[in-house]
Amino acid sequence: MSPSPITPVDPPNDSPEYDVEDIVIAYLAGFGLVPDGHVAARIPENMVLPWVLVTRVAGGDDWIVDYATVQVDSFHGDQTAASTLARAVHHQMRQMRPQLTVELPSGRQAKIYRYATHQTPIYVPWEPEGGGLIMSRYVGVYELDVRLPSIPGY
Amino acid sequence: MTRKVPGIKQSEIDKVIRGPKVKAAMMNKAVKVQDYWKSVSPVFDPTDPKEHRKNPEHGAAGDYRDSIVVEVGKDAQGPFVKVKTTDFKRFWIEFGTKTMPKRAPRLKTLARFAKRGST
Repeated sequence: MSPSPITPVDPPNDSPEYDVEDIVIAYLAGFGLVPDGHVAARIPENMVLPWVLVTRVAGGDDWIVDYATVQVDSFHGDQTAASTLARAVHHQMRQMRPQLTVELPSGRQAKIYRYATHQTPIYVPWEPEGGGLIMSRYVGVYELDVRLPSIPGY
Repeated sequence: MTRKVPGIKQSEIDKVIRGPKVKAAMMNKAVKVQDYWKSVSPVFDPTDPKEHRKNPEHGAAGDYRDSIVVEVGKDAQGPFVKVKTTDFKRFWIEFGTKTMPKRAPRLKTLARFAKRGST
């Protein structure tokens, strides 16, 4: 039986690299800001609000550090609720201090090297054409540098 | 007798900063940023059957990419060059919407040129 679309799927334990989206999802999921499984990297067809969407949008890496730019979308039924959720998310994101260790569902641990807010949450319409507004969205953008697993020679 | 202070005078630094060499270097960098931003910008393809934007259309193909310009100006701190887009779809393309995937060309450009790593 295939898993439900909103059930987070653990990355394989033998994955040689970290996915920064997984790190942010695992970090935010620990604070209970939204129901279990409502922090994810995708929006399912049958999404139930509130929802926090984590997407890596830019950034490369070198042999040691992954320099990710991550967009976090906070969805809720109206603008006030979405703003409140986005501030709660932002409050936790701001506490991603250097050397913070985040435990992934697989049990592996990832270490944050650097955090910076690129964009504090702002309102960006999800349905710009109108026509039945069902949810509001706030968008925050964060820079996260994460220590990559060691590779031979470095 | 007044002792001469060694070093470079502020006025000399200001003169160089406002000179043509610095302006040319700024323009050179701005054009590089503009070229990269354009290279990662999505362009609407009206012949693509999966393209949602044709119903309705939002301007001509390449409007967003072609709106990325280098602006040369001067403010209280001196001359500046700015790379910017003026297309009305810029927030949709940057952050995504229900029907448009987030492309983030501006963030990709910043990540490329912000010297955070070898992006």
